[in-house]
Amino acid sequence: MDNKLTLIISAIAFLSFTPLSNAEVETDENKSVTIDCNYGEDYLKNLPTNLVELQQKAVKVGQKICLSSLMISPSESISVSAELIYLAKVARKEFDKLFPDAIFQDISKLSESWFHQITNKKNDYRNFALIEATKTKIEGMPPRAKEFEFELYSDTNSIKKYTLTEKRKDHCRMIIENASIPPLSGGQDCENAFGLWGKAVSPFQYLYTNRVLEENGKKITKLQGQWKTFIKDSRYQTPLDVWATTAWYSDQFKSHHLTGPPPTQLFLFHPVVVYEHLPDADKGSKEDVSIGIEWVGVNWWRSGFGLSVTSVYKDRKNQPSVGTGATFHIKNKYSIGYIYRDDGDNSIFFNIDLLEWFGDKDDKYNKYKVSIE
Amino acid sequence: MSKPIVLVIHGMGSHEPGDLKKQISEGLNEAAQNFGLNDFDINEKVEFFQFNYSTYLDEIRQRDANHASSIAEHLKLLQGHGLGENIVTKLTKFFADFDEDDMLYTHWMDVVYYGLMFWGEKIRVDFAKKINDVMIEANKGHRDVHIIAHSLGTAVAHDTLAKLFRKDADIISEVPGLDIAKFKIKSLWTVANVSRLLNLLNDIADPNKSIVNAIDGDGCSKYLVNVRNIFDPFTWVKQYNRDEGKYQLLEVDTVRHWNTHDIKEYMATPQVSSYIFAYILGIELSDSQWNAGITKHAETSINKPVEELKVAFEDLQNKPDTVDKIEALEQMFTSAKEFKQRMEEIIEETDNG
Repeated sequence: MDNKLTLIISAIAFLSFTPLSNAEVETDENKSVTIDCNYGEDYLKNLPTNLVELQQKAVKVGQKICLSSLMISPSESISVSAELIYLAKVARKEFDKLFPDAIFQDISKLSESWFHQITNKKNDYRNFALIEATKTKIEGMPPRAKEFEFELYSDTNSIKKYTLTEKRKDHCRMIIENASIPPLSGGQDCENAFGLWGKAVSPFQYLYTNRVLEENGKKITKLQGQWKTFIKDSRYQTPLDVWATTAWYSDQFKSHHLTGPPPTQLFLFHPVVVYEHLPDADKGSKEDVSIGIEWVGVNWWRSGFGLSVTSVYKDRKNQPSVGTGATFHIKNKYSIGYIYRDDGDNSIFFNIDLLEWFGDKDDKYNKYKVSIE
Repeated sequence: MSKPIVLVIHGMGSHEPGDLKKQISEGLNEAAQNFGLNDFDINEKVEFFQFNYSTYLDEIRQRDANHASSIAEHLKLLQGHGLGENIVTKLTKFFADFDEDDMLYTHWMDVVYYGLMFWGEKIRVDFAKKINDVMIEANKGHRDVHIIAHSLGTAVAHDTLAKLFRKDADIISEVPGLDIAKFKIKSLWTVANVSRLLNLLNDIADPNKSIVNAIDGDGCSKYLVNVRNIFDPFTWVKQYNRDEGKYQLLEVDTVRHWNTHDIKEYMATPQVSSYIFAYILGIELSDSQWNAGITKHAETSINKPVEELKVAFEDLQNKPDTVDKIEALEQMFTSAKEFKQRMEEIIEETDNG
């Protein structure tokens, strides 16, 4: 159990879910993959059962499955198959003993289906699964579980439902008592009785299932990373901008799979404060602060470039108050624009952040504040 | 550890990490005490995991408020220097409104941020990671995973599960996904379900038809319980009622406090707690325990017949169903506001009477 079985296989990129008997493997010459086929120190402590021998067999087969999923050689796959078939036989026998047909009519058909599932269809990870069991049909006040069912998640037709009669409840209670396992937290007697078998057999699929989940987690983490980058790097958007962007990419966000951030940002009536340079203005007011609005704009945040149609406003003595032009956004932070006015007194402007490029931002900003106070 | 795992996700408003777990625990422990279950502590029976997204929504709200106040600050400076007083006052008020600190405002903004903006997808991705992490944990000990979602959390949970679970998931692709032929949530408890209202806003998957159900072979859950208080105004608009598969509707009508939307209040009711005890913990109450629980809970409820309460809120409950996003949102929040006012008056009246 404690032997750390770690394989470092070069030249294999994505092997984790390669079907056991499938010889075709996607490869990437530049990557190596480390696969840990170790159960961890406390693993079995969390799986108390009286079916210890069965559990030990399941542990060994689980490790083999984990290693063989790497498709090292066809012969090793065959070896695992033989051991898996043996485990399935023993496990099925134990199951039939715990839940006999005499009390749970036809239940052996389900254990037979399970046996065939894990031994016959080796090319699908979903087949490395357990029989599932749960109480159903909770009714009344106070509530009572009326039914208990066994099933294979992969096969809807496999479901076997049983009314929880006193006879069946007594049978399950007897299994628990005979097992001498401390009462489990949660579950009704038949669930706990089934749990003894489930905890014994579960190790055969644990490592493989764990890798499926770990790989899935990596994919989600990648999306989380994309969102993190978006939040860190992209231009600030007002709620209206965010709404506009969401509406524009509605197909992406309402799709039935998880996605990353929008590829571009849209801006709609986005308020700005700009530092405007108007060469034709009177001396002393050539450079001044104006408020502006980006009527509509787009920003490719990944490449750090965007543009907007912008108007600026400020009451001026000798020039029109309003001018309209274009703004260019650089590195998601700096904006520079050109404004046209009716009388030809055009101007350039940049946002306050761009003051950094010309010197100390605070100093410039303070000067501007002093100038208008 | 063999305890079942219970993943909880909160609703609208600000929640400190750990708050929801505490509220749920307190509600269930109170109910257990009323039933006469001695030395009962739900924290010893299950292992709670919590997903918090309100901290993130608070950050976004704060960032928007900061931006708005920064613009407002500039506007003040410009008053008399290129901008007239009138326009400055109007614009400043507009931007200042973003910083309003009001419970209903926060609730309203949470719904807007989640339902109408891409921030909802960021939250779903984070919640999907949490579900995946919890599934990994459960796989270690062959444990069951249950989810309890409250209010806006029911929409987050629904939308995330609808995007994460699927039939025939392609595990070779870059798209995350869990195949329902292999993975399932043991039970999903939606308390004060607003997922249909949110679906009107984000159009992800119709909660009445999605994979988030407990139909054999078709759903991502083995058991689905929808819980609503008939006097919870947040459940009146676009009501959820998917009656298929292993679905259970638990309707309660007890009122102890004006805030009938409160998760702790829901958990403390005999109906809800007894179903959680029966399904998640396997504890089935005797008739005498049940009767004791009912009596003790009723002692703390307001002394007003249910039928009278129904009449008092009839007009708010029976508003016509709408498919208009804004109208539905308005309906929910105006009903909630009106409900609070009327209920406070009723409680005051019964206290004095």
